[in-house]
Amino acid sequence: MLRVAIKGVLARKLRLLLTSIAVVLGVGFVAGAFFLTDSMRDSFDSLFTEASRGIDVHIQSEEYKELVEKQATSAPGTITIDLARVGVPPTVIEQVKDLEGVDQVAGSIFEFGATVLDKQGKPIQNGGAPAFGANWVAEAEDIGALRLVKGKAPKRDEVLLDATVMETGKFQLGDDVRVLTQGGRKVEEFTVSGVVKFGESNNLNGATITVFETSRAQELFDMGDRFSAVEVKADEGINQVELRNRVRATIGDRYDAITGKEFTNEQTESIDNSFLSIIQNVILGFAAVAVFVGAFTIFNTFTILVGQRTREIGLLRAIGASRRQVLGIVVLEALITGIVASTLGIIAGYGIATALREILGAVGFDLPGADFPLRTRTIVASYLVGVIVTLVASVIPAVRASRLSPLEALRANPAHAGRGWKAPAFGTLLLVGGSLLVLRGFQVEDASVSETLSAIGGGFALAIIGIALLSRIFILPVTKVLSPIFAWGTAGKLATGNVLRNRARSATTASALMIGLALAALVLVFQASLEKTVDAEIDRTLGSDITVYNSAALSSGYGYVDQDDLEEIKQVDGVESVASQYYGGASIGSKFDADEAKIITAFDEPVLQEDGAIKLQVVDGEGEPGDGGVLVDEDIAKDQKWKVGDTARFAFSTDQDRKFEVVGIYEPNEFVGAPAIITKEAFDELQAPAVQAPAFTYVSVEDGRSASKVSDAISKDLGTDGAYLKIQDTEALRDTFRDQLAPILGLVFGMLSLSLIIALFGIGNTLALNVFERTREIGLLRAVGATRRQMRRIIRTEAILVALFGAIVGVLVGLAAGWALVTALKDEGFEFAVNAVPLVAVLGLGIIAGLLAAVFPARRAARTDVLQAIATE
Amino acid sequence: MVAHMSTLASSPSSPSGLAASVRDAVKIFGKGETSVTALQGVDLDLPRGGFTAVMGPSGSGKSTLMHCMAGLDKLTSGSAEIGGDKLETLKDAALTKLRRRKVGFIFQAFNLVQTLTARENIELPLRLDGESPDPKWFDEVVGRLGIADRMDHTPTELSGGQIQRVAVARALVSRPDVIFADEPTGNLDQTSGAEVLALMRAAVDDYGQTIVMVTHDATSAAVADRVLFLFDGKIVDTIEDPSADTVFERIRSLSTGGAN
Ligand SMILES: Nc1ncnc2c1ncn2[C@@H]1O[C@H](COP(=O)(O)OP(=O)(O)OP(=O)(O)O)[C@@H](O)[C@H]1O
Ligand SMILES: [Mg+2]
Repeated sequence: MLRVAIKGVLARKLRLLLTSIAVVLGVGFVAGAFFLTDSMRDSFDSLFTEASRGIDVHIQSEEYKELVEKQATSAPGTITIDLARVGVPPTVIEQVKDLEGVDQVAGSIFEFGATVLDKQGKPIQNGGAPAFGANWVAEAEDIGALRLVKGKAPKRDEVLLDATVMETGKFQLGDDVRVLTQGGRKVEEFTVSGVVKFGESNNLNGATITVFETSRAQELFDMGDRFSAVEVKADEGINQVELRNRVRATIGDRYDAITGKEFTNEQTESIDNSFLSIIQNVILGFAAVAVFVGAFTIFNTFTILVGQRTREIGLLRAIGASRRQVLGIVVLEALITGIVASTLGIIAGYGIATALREILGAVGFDLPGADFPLRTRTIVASYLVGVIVTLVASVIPAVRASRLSPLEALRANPAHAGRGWKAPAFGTLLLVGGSLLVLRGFQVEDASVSETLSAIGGGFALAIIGIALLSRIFILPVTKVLSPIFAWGTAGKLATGNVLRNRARSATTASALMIGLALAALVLVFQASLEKTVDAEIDRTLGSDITVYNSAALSSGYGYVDQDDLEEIKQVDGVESVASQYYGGASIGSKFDADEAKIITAFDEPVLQEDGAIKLQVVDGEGEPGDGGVLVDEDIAKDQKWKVGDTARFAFSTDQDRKFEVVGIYEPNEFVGAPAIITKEAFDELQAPAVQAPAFTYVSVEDGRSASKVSDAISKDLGTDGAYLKIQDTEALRDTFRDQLAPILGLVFGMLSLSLIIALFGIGNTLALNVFERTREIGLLRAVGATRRQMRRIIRTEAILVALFGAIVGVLVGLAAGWALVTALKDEGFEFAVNAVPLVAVLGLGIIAGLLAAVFPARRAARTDVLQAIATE
Repeated sequence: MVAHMSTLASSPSSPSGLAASVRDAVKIFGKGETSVTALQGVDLDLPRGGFTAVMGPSGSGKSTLMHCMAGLDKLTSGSAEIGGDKLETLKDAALTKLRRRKVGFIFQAFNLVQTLTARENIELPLRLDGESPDPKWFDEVVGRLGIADRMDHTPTELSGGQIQRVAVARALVSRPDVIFADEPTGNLDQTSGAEVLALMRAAVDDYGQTIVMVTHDATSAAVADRVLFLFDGKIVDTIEDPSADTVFERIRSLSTGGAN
């Protein structure tokens, strides 16, 4: 039986190839995802090994560690770290220094927020990677990864730059350089005294590092005389655990000591849980789309192959093969195909990983790592996916074929199928079930992100399969409508007949395209709706003409306007008034709880009236907080059951708390961006110094002056000093909001092009197999006088009809899903909008995919030899 | 009627009054040791308006002869002509046009395009040319064949005999110079077979259609004006105005006495 199966595979080399393409692509993506993440893992691993060089014991305060973790996952501005309080004091160094077994001790500083400005004043940043500031510890040279490769240690007004920044900024030793520090609160000038490398690498996986003299770093990060951490290097032959225990015994439990190894593991874990898991999910998302779309193609291919062989199966059954044997042969064939294709898929994975890295890089996700390691897990996962998908796709048609009685099989006409009611009924079930699941995903409030995503993703997948099964019903009416437009004459009529002859097959073929385009349409609807929503929100809430903010705020989430620059803006001709907004974290109650922290904001001018910089829609009470008062938004008021006149108590990261009187309640407001507003005086008193800098500055221009001209004048006046700022009139601000969607759009369009490619193979594949299947008919057509050109036109038209059907259904499904999504987000203020032009472009893309897919099968059909076709049985 | 007249008017383009002919036709399949000579020097003239039957044992080259005469296959040497066109000089596009306009072909089975209705199948050669059939002629043919009420059915809804009649109709409607029929009744029961044969006979008698037909059945062959016997790629005998008996007699003598 194995021999029959192998012969079966080999006898159909071309068909094997066609089937394999779909599997190869799907597996290629799975393998590619693992290649990429493994490669990144390796690069981080070596980085962390590098970073923990010479660190045998690492001392840090527990609170600091927690705050850093929270900061990474909270809304920008909510968590500020008061380093002067949670840092490690120098007394710890003194305590540890003389311990037995300690070789060197270093008080190290390593914090977010030291951005180097290039000579034009623009921040040097690699995509969204962070900018770190560190200190130089000359007396503990063997600790940490920083290596001085050129120049000398920094004095108070000097810095060391990493090799990448040196190159991008075209800096020389001795050059002046301006650095935005503490999240861009101040711009200060330094002299470049040397160049550092991070171990062997020029930078820290894309992040920049600027190294200061220690006391200067402590000033910049407002940390008093403290450090981010204290690192201890052990004497030769001293065990890390032993030293750690000794350190613990000495410093007590106010500070937490861990071994260097534990430190590395912690870092690896945190990167696994954040950055890497996001990237991996993104790529696995690509893979899922690829496999999902590919599965349709594989399924189709096997259905056709088995269909074509129904007669052969009948013959086998007639001469005495059992059902089980027949099934066995098909399954074995699938197994062989799956294994061969998975192997090819792993090889393709290398190419796909390389391409993905380029694509992701182009849309702003720069991925670290160089080589692609082949891990056992990659091999296992690839073979599992490839073989299982192939098996599942082949077993259904095989079971169907083996159920036929030998005579039925011999008589079967494989070309006609797909008119039963079972599939559509099942499809309806899946569609409804899937939709419910998606709805649930949106509604369940306290589900984890992965639960929500898998509910939405899984529901979407089920619904799509449902629609694919259902679409065999409406392929008839849709094609009837399309035919007169796209399929003229006899060739058109023949093509239409071909499309409708096996509706199930045509519908499945179209599904591959449908999924991609549904995704695209969904995103386009979402984008159009978001734009409309943003526009409406800007109109509703923004009263000022020009908004000024630190460009770092766009990527890292926080960044401030320098106080001196603020003064200068006020002097610019045409500026009428300037108001600034401040953000900080606070939690409700008497004890500050970083987990529950919300943003609290303050304005330094009374700007909240109807004609002020911010249009606040007050539902009850006053429109300004006033002395000792707080304005709260409707949501939080409802949550806390606050009414005007009630007392609201807030606690701050500075360990202070205060009771405010609720003097007004307002509608949630995009530009206020916080659920509570207090006075600037209260803010200054209660918040950490680190956040006492303007995050947004609103400029109103004098009557009759053009906002864009005045904003140009401000830029010109500030010159290179102001280059780190975004100075935007309302139009430019709108564009910025829109651009923030660009990376996500880029990703989705990556997936779209991917599914387009697979759909292209799918349609081409099915058409090619149809051409094989219909060899006799094509021969007949040629015999009664169809020219080669007419044959090609028939196949091309068939492809266009199928592709258009897929595209139309896809766009409709996407529109419906988009509408549902936007409706579900109505509470967030979303408004539904559709932009027709890109949707039509997407439809056009579908037709082009169809035409491309038809090239090979059409040629094949045109070349069909009349006599051979007639002789084919 | 106009289309009908014009095809009639253009038909006698061949000065010889022949619808089709082959001279010294040789067809060799394959090369070297394994080559098979299917035709070895066949000369055949098909006079306009004649009904010719071709008989011979299996493998004698009947189908090959039809294919080569109809322009579906090329002769290894010799020449073939249809309506004055020398087939060996024509390229694929021209041959396709010729098949469309001057040749009708009826196969033993699988004669119709499954997705098209009977009407569409009959009109196919003309439609491929961007023309439409003369409605009177169409109705007449279809009426005579007794399939007028089946025109909007697809092949799956037709009986075997009806399918073959649709195939005959397709061959007749474009009024080709010659209709080639390779065992057109081989798949049919006797009654249906006889009906199809009668219709072909009528096409010859009433419209002056030229038909060549391959058959294994003496009774069927007797419907023709003359019967050719093919043996080993050569015409070994001819009977004019055959009857079933004379044909049967000749088959017996050929198979017992052999060709030599
Ligand atoms: N494509 C081909 N390649 C090789 N040999 C061929 C090919 N087609 C036909 N032959 C050979 O040519 C000879 C004539 O075949 P042909 O099909 O013309 O016979 P036939 O008289 O139609 O037989 P039947 O009555 O069985 O249909 C046979 O020996 C056959 O094996
Ligand atoms: Mg034959």
